[in-house]
Amino acid sequence: MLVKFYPPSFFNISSVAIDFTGALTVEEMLKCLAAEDKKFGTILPLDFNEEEIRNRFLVFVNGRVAGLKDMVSDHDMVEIVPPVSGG
Amino acid sequence: MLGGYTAKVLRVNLSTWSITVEQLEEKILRKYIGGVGLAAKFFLEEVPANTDPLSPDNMLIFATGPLVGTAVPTSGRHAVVAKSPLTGIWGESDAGGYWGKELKWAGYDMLLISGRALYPVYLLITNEGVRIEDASHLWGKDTFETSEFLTKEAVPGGVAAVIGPAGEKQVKLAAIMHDGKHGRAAGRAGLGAVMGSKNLKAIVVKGDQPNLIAGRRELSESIRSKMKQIREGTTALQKFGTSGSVPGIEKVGDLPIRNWRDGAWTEGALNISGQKLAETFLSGNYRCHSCPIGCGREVKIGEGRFGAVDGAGPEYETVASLGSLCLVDNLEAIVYANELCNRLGIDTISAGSAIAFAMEAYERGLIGKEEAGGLNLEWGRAETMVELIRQIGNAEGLGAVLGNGVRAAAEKMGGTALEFSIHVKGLEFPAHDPRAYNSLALTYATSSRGACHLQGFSHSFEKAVTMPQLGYTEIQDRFAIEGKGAMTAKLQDLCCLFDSLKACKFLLFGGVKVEHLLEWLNYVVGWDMDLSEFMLAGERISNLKRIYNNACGISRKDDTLPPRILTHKRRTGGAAENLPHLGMMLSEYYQFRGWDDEGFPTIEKIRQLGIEELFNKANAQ
Repeated sequence: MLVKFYPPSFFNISSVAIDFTGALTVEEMLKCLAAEDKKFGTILPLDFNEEEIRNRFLVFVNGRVAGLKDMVSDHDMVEIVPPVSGG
Repeated sequence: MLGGYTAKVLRVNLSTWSITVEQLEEKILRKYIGGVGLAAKFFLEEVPANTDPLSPDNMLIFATGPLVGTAVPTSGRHAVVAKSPLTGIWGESDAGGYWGKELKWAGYDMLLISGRALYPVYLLITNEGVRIEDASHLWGKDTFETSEFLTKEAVPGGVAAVIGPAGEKQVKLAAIMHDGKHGRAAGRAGLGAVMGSKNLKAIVVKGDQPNLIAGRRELSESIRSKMKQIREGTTALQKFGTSGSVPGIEKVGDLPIRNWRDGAWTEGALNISGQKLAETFLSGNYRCHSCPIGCGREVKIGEGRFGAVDGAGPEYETVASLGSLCLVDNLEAIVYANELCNRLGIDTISAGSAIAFAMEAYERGLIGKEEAGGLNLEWGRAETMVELIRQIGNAEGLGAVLGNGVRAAAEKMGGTALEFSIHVKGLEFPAHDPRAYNSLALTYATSSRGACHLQGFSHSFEKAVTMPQLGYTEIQDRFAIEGKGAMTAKLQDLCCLFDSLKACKFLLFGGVKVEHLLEWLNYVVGWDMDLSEFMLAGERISNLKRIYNNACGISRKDDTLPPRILTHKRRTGGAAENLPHLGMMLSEYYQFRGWDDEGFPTIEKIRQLGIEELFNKANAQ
């Protein structure tokens, strides 16, 4: 699965490929992503809950905002987007 | 020892040239907290609802809160209150920076200004005394020039609140600007015009007496324990400012586009984002007093297409209002226009809304070439946007019409213009689309100053924030309807507390909860207030503002949204098909508030809040 970062300049990452088959929770997927990419590892807190994640970035799965417990499968389109806090 | 407060109110009558100081009793401070709470108390007592906002009888209030001037994170804010000339109801705005801290350290919690000077004046407030000085030589100067003179020559090291040409000409979109070129604006509701109507060009303050703190050690420990979380939770704001959120906001369908008609504008959003700003014109960050976040931007353009810029960068609200709302994706134009607004002293939100309204009126043939004064008002015209700001600030040409706000402009134009003048109670929408967050629709419809996201901040609880003590342990479903009435009411009360303590709501993104605010208040002042008393104070303040608005004629008929927002699905973007079910949410809201079906607080509610006397005063008038 190719996880895209949008816009890349926000994260200094454009995309990260992670290998898995079947389905994971978004929470598990984020941990895989952090293990795969060190830069993302610095963005993701060691322990996190929904609120702490949402203030750092949003996870979009097939164009919809996803929560940590939502499932993501290997053929889904996943994007990491800047947080919508502020303004 | 009472910490936090000076317990002193400075009262200036510009008609009689009188300057007096009054003492505030502790029981009053505890009941109304400070900031907008205390301002509401004085306002209901002294400003009849039928007061002409631009007459000497209107009162202009600057109010700090008990946290201002302390080390409590983000407490460098102050409130400005008056009857609004733009809306004709309760007018409230607030600003960050250093002005509030200086007023507090000069010895005052609040400043009440009434009357009208015979000629232009400025106020000078220091620990040594208060003076009214001739400002004739400053009249006509922009806010940067005025502030530069006052804080370098008149009171070196002082901080100034000033109006520009827009305020002098009593343009109804006029702002009060603080901190010179750093551009901290009390922008909303046209309060700069009230200051102009009093012939008051500026208020320069300088204080050197820090607040007393009742529990200094406990406060330090408490702040220290939260600081890491605040810093980490607001990393995005530190790095890219508020406009760093533009790409995400566009993706969820929250960005206002083409006068609230469209749901997606992906490339344009990237072009006006904080990321783009960082790559182009950013020269530094700015932080208000006691702020660990530092979301403010500084920008510099040497010789650009529109002119040189050296000052505050545009915030999210500005890039959206002058950018996506008008389909302008030229960031250089927005950066320049932002500085022009700051220099002229205009609210960037209302200015952008007025320009988008004019562009749509032009498209629909309601503004012809003659009314446009030769300007090409097609969507996306950056030069037109800049020129209209110049006209609004100087009350010239089409800008003289737009400067009265979109409600007045639409009434003057007639026809279908009312359909696309986007405001609530006369205040133009801020740059968040209520079709993306249902609670935001209710927040806009019921906020005391008109369309406002900051008087409830409820959409934050539908995207990123929880508040277990108020019953919100999870992030709320943004498209749900049930429960949003109660949620909006509770969060408006919470925001009244933020606005009375004077702290920035961005603390919420750093994990700060209501119990932390209360803890800091108690440590600063030396009280033992519990959560129920604290929240009751927030509810009391919400109701005081409502009572004033009721006396101005506001009721259920006014707690609504423009037809476009209630009926027009955008069909694209992250909230393409959603429309807010306002009526259902509003009924739940009134019921939860203890208001009747027409939106008037019941006598039982007024008694419960202990505000019978103020209610009677407001209604006797």
